[in-house]
Amino acid sequence: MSAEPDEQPVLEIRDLVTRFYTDEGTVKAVDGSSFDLYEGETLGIVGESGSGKSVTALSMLQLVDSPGRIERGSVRYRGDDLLKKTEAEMRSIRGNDIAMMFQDPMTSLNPVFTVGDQISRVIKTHQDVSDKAARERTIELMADVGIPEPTSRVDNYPHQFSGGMRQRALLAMAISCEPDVLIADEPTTALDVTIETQIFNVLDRLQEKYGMSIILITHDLGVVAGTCDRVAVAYGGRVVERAGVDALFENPRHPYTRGLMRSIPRLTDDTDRLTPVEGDVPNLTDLPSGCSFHPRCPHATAECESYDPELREVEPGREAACLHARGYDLSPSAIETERAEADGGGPTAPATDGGEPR
Amino acid sequence: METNMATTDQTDEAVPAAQAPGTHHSQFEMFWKEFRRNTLSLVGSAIILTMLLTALFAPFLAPHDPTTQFEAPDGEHNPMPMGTEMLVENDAGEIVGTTTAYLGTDHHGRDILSRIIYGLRTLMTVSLGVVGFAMALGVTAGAIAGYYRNTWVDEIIMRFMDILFSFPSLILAIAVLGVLGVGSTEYGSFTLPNIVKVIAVIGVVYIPSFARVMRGSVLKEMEEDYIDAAKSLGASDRHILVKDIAVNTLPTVVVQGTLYMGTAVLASAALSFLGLGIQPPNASLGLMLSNARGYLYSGEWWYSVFPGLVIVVTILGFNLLGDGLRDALDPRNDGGER
Repeated sequence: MSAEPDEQPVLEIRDLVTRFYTDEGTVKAVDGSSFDLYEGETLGIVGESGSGKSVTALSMLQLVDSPGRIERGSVRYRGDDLLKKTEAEMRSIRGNDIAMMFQDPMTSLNPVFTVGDQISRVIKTHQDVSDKAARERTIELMADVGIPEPTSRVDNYPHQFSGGMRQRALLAMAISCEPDVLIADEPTTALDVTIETQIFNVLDRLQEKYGMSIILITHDLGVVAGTCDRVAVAYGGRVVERAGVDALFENPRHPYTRGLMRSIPRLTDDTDRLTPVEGDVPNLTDLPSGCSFHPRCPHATAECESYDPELREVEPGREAACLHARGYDLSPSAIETERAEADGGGPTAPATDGGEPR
Repeated sequence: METNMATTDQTDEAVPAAQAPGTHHSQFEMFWKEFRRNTLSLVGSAIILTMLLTALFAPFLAPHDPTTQFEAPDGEHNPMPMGTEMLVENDAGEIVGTTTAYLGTDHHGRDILSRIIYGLRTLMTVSLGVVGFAMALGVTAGAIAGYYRNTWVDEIIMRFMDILFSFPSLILAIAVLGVLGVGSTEYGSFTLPNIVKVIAVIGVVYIPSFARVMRGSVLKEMEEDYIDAAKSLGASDRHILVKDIAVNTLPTVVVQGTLYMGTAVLASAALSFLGLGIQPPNASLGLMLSNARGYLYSGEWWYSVFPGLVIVVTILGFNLLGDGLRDALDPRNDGGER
């Protein structure tokens, strides 16, 4: 069990609310999300598609586009609330202090400029350096992220790069100004597993080299187990459980996390079927009353329909937003019993496609 | 298409080490490869290049001054047929020799070939001016509207464009010129040259087309991930609009501009034909057609056919070139089917 570090967090997100005002109604994409990021750690934010992970990341950088609006909450970066900054102040923070790396390397580079151009542009946005110095730094960065022959690749166009190479180039762009915080939004979803491993190795090395804190947004619990120090589980636009990675995998406290864990195929299990989390991700325009997980929750009681639980400390260093959060038994016999209970409906696609936790 | 697909696949899938380092395929090279495959677009470019060079070097190419009136030899009358040996007079009015009118003369004895060359110069100037004017204003307005999409800025700009768009082009030009009067207009010490007036009245109705196309391209660009990526790394709005978006929408605007050149040529010729455009004695193809009308029945066909032919070929050239550019620049063409 890893206890939370004692020092001040680099990023402190409190009660963040972001809504989209569409013709179909108000989408509560982020509905009171709270979490911290500490110096030098990797925080995983996991959740199904539509759990508000990406919007949370965009909200932190004030990049939510109309019709979306950040309604309230605070995003404290080293004590300063980013949500109170002006657009000009934010611009100097984005990329310089907090950088973001996007999901799809195929579309996140501008096709008409060379890769080198795009990396040096970020450097020149934040630093007063000559074109030549920016280019040299770019070549260094490209070598750093493991792009072979950077001196010639610097003049290549994105279409001459493979997917993995593009993701490395995006990583080079993101770390070009040595940010304190790197937000990686599903950085390997579009890549195959071998490339995924390579990218995470590079990330790991760079985190050490530059002392970055990383927020890793993913739906892949396998990735989380392999790379993160602490985890925040997102559901229905908020964080429902926060814990150290080992503690979370050993003993998930929120029924949703528990459901996610059970939907992972395990090499040690002799079973033909996975147990999915029954039901669908809640419609963010019309969240269920009370605890938004109650319609899918095997432990839901009458109170869950009306009472909206907050994130509460359930034991030192970990929190869960559940009325009934208690120590769940993960012994094989207990899982067997729970599976038998849940075996009413046919299995749907598993909510996560993670592998065996590493 | 197949060759192209193969190249794309190769660059996409190849292991980095296997790729030849330093092989550049700039966007322009890829465009040119695609463009030259189409014979018709090459024909179009050849036509337009010829027309532009002719217009540019008119004073060197035209055999005579377009306003010189030659005397017809005995037995001939104006308009003189092709190949007539026209009489050349000196300042005192004495005949000092003859010169050939290759394409005949008009009803004032002016050399048609020279007038066509100078007329083409005028036509190109006006058409380029019209498209340049409409493009500059339309693209700016469209880019701003697109960037501030769904705000009051967008609404005001685009509704104003709708109003402009509802005017029939020639009717508006005729009405405005009717009010302002044809020819140069003087406002105190400031003289508004006729050609500027003509360019503005024709160009104004094309502004909405450019604005709409530009707004559409900007909207499409704004959805691209690399715009978000650039924003997340601290790029400013202005920077994104000027650099990322402008460069990516350039092909669309260029194609639109080329296709509108054909329309602009037709409109400026039509305005001249109606006597509201370029004023005599300046050479203008539309004006020549208008004057030549009366001579068709009497068999003096060369007076109207040659200027008409030049207008037709020019418009054809612009349309072929525009189509070729569109095909070559269309992103859907260079990856094969996805």
